[in-house]
Amino acid sequence: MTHQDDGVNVSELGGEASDWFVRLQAEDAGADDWLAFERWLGEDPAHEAAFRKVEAAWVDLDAAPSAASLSAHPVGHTAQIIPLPVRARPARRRWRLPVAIAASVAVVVGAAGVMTVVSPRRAPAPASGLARARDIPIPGGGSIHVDAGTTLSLRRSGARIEAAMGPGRALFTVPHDPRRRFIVRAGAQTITDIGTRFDVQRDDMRLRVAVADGEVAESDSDPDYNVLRVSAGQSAVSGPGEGGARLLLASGAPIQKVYDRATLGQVVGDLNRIYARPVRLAPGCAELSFTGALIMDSQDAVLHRLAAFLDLEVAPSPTAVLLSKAASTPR
Amino acid sequence: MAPPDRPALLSTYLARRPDLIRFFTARLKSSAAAEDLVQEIYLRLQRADPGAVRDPTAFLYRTGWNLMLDQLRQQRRGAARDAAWSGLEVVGAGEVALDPAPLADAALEANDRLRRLLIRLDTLPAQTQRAFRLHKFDGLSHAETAARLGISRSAVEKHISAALKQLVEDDR
Repeated sequence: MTHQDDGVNVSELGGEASDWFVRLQAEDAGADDWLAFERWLGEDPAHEAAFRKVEAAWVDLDAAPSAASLSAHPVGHTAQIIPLPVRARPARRRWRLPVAIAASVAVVVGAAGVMTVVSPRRAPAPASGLARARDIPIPGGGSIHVDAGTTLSLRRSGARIEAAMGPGRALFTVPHDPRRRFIVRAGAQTITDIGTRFDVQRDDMRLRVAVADGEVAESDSDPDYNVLRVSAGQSAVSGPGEGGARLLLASGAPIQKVYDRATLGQVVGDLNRIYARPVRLAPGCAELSFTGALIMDSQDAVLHRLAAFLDLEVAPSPTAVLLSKAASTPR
Repeated sequence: MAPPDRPALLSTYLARRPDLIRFFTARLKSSAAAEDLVQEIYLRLQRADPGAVRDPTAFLYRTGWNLMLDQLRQQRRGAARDAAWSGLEVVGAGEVALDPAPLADAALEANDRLRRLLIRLDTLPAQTQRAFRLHKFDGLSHAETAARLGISRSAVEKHISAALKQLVEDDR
């Protein structure tokens, strides 16, 4: 990567390059804009150099310490700060937290993915999630790839690093380090890594943890209760509350999912994560209850098994499959 | 236009692959790096929500660009990372540093660049700063920034572009 800082030329081009940068970032930037941009780049090597400078400034600013950006912010800026959920006191603690929970620092990935240091006292407000996917480093090594639209906050307290995750998806790469403990909280669930690479997907109802390497332990909010260990190649999906579906899927061989009084809506939610062709439900079907094991081989086969079990009708179209209650048929 | 489904997105990818490789080869100055990046676009594509994609071609370029910016960020901040976290220790009074890495030269350099950018940002006109900060630091889209400030989207884009221009000017 070469930087040509040939003064005036680059400076003049700075405006053009900035315009392009903004245009490509616009929500409605289309294919035409990209092709026009490519032409502009090709016109003169200095264009590329100027554009690169804008990009460099843009990514350099990602490291802006919160203090700098917060101080200059108008009131209302804190609306973007993501509060960490107040932790219920666990029944038992295996480690002693250092003195200062009050002094502990929340590192918040703001909507732009800027790491923001805030004191926990700062007024909480709803967070809107990352505008773009980005990677954030974990102190002491490792990183988190956070998908767009996901809120994630990191907090460190002594040797414990805690990531609180809202709905969305993140891929965690956490090298094992006995000097620290890395924990992901997603709603009522807690995931504790044991040195690993794992993917967490959370929607309103469920949490899905897929482990690529190593092993993690997933538990309900009380870490001493109901712990599920998930090893490499496995995924665990858990639903809301104790009565909801708790499923363990071992991938590799065709995935088998076990449902315990799950709603059909939940089952279809899982199918839609596994298969490309979306499944939709006719009104009144989402609440049907399903208990049983489903082997996730081909989508058609799964749907027909499910349909036979719940007496549903399967109506495939090129873009989706509709499940509806079968019209009562005379036998 | 109805949102594309996943197969449509994949077929756009296959059709556009040579264009993407050409584009990113020019940008990365390396066809091998471009091949890798375009492959990574494919992987991202499989995780993308097709319903959220309006223009599949633009989406492919945009995804590749984001990946490129991620790489650039790592190059420029790789060494700065530890420094940034070490800085947090000061705020977290009474807590133990996990990784009290000494500040590397590169990290100092990155911090210095950042400091200069922030100083320059502070000198911009108030409304330009506001628009830029909302977009860059708060992650608001152009439209959201416009709504927040009660100005038009094109005014927001002018502010952001003006801010960027000022930020890179005289930066030698």
